[in-house]
Amino acid sequence: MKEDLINLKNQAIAQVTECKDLEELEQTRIDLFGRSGKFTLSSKEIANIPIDEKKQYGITLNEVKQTLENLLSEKKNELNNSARVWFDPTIPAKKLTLGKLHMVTHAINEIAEVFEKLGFQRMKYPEVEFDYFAFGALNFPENHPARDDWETFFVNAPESKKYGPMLLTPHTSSGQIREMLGNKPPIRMVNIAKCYRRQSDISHVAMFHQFEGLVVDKNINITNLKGTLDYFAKTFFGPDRTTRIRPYHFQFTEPSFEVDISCNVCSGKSCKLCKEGWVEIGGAGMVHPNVLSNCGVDPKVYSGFAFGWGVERVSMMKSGLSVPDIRLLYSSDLRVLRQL
Amino acid sequence: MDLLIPNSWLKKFLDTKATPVEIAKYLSLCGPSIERTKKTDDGNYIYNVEVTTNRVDTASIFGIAREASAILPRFGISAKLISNKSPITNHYVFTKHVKYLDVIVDQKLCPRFTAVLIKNVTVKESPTEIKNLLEKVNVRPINNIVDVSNFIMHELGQPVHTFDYDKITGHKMILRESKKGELIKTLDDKEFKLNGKDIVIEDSSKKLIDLCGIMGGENSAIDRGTKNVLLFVQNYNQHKIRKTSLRTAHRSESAVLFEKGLDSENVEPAIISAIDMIEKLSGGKAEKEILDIYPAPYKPKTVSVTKAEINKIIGIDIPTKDMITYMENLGFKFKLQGETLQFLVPSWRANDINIREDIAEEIARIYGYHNLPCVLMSGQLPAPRINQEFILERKIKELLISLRAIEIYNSSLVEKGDIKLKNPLGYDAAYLRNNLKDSLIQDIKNNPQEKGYIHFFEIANTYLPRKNDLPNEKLTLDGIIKNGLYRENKGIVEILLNELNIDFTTKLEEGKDYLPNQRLEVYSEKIKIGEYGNLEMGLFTYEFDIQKLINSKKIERKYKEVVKYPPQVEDLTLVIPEKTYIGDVIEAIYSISNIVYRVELTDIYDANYTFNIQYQDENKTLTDKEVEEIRNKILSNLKLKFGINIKE
Repeated sequence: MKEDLINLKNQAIAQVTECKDLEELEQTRIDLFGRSGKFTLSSKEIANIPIDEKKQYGITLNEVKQTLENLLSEKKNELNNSARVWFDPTIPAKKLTLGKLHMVTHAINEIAEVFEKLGFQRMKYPEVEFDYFAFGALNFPENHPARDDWETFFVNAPESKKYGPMLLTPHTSSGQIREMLGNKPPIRMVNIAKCYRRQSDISHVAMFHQFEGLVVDKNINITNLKGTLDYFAKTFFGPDRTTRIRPYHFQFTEPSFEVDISCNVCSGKSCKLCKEGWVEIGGAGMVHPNVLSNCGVDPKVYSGFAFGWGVERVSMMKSGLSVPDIRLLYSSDLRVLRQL
Repeated sequence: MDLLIPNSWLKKFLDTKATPVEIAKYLSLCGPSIERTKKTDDGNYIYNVEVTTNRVDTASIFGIAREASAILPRFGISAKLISNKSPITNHYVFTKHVKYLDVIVDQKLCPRFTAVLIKNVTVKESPTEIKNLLEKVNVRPINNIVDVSNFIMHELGQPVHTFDYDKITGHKMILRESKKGELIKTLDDKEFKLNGKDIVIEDSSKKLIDLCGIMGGENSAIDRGTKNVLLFVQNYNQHKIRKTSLRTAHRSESAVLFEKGLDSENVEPAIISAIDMIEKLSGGKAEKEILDIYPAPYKPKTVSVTKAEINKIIGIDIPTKDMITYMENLGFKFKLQGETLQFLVPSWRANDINIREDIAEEIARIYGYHNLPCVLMSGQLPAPRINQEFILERKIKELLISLRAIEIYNSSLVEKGDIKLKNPLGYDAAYLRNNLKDSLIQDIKNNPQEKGYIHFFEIANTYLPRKNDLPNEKLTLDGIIKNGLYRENKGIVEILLNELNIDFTTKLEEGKDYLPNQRLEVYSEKIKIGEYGNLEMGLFTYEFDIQKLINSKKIERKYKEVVKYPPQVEDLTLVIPEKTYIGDVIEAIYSISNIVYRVELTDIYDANYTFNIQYQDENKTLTDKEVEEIRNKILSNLKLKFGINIKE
């Protein structure tokens, strides 16, 4: 019986060696190891072997199997190598195109996400407003320059008896009033929207975007404002950036601040692009008690902070694109758009 | 407003060892922002300071010195303010009537009016040191009299004017509101026709000699031959000055100061310093009696706070004695009444300090905002509110860019619309747009260099008027495609609607701007939610109302068992007569039997349309015979209805 196995082995070696292609080799393999292959059948024979020869038969069976499997695999590699077809992976890729989101959309999405992490809700408020929401309730005095028609766009529409002239919101801060009139504290709101001012030059465009944050609750203080703005700066611009607040003036906050972020070009050492290592990023402040009162929030119980920054500004600062004119962001020239 | 402050001039009022770098850094942190410091050739430093509109009291050399004297000690640097009160103050008497000038003043226009006659001056060049300082603050030296005005204005922040006394007819002045159409020529040789309500002065010959707060009249100006000078220091109604300054586009330095609201108390040191300087520089001699019309002198007001209130606003614990030190260094006097601190507001802060938050600001900034920690607020989060518009907007944008569309932002301000602006920047931006399509067509036109496929889209508000209310701000999606194939363009619209799960139908309907018979309206239930089709110039457009997409009927998505039995699939090529709507043909095929599971147009060649048809029964494997029966039904139906034949 053992001789039969040796014969089987020798025959098989001859067959495998003579195989000319992978198909033939596969057929040879099936002839040996398939369900009714020669080797498969021989291995089943073990049942009929006398007990005292069983062990030896088993050992030979394994040796033969091992030899043939190795041979098959060697032969397969050999055939694979000789059958290698010509292929050029260095050929240039076909240029695929994707569409493109606008730079401002990217910025808006990122800004909203940062504040969502702090529990702020993104809200939407009118772009076309009455004076009361844009100025009056925000503590702007009657004669304030922002109310002049060389700074703010006014709509040719009848004046509201209650709320005054209709205008295009020059800032997102009108959303503070709408938010507080419609909701009770605790308030954590972010309003990202279009704004309009009568200016057009390399750093101003008549239609632009701002994001406004408003927090109103018991015991809100300046350290919370600092904490929130620092969190934003580190998340949006990078963990190595620091912020500072400096005295400033706005009608609707008291105290008011200018917020600076450390310059990433010189890492705070002072360079041409910054002011002694700092870049101005926008305004902020503690909500003026008159504004709280105007919205029916008791300033003796609640306090809050707010900030309103330019979306284009933070987006351009982050991108590092050095766009020379903010109006280019609103170009429809594809040669410009594709770069933004 | 921006201000130039030479370090050497600042030191006239500030006794400190602080270096220019320290001064710039620490003032910026706690007070006026020093935007830049420049070293000059003669070893001086010039600070470029940004003064906020509420702090016009700091818009001078003295004002900055006063701030520095309060701020620098917090950084361990001694700094003492040197008084601006001239030692000669006591030589003069302030009085309501003087012999040398007859005046009538409208107090509403001019809360404080002072003037003094200085006789026998010699008009000549100023000494080098004066000229040198003026040049450092960008003022061109003119002569010793005019230079004093400019010098005092920069030093003390109080505008000063000088008239040639002998050019004032009758030595009489009437300070009043201008009348519409009155003319005045200012001393820079510009002529203005006044609009009325400006503050002006006329003399007894009724000629206007001063456009108050803006610039003096040319007819009363100091010249080489001037012998007698009327020195003139006033405070004016800030709103009047601002209006006049903007109307005449005459933004003189004095106008920029007056319009912020000046401190009437500052008039006194200003006129005394000016007298002193003019006498010294010109050899003239001032009258002892200074005309001073000041019916309502400043009475200090009190703002009361407690330590707890201040610390609640700031967020840390600052001791009372430190609070008091900071405030005293800023010129506030105080009284302690139990727990309450009563601060007396100095005249130069009268407009700016009113409530406890104002006091908190002063204490916090001198303590140093940079010394405060960053602490995220604790407390409850607000109840969730979800705005579906944001969610849908984002989803649509992501879908469209995966379909090669490029997002664009166009201005809301356009040439035509339903809502007009009163004060547009130009005729081409005079309306709020009522559609996005016109902007997108223009975007295509703006890209003549692009010869290939372009797909732009925008999601933005359109503005539609509402009676007696704010406009309807309708969030709209609009796209435009150039050089696309109609079937692919339509595919974009359909995949968008399908991905949004919208149950929709379409209806062929003519519409403005579209090519005849090339526009479809999209409906969900009975409501029109959008439209698409071909425009002229080979453009394809689509438009949807975002709110209507949100409210539209959604396809109910339920899991369906995968059919166990294989479908029968075949291609039928049909010869279809001209002007047959393929949509109707496909609908007719479906209508034959439920077994017709899917019909897809796969190829068009001349009038030959190849459809791939899938037949499937959910309960059994279809036999060839069953399929043949249905196919025959389809073909006979199409023949009957449309005259369609199968291609032989």
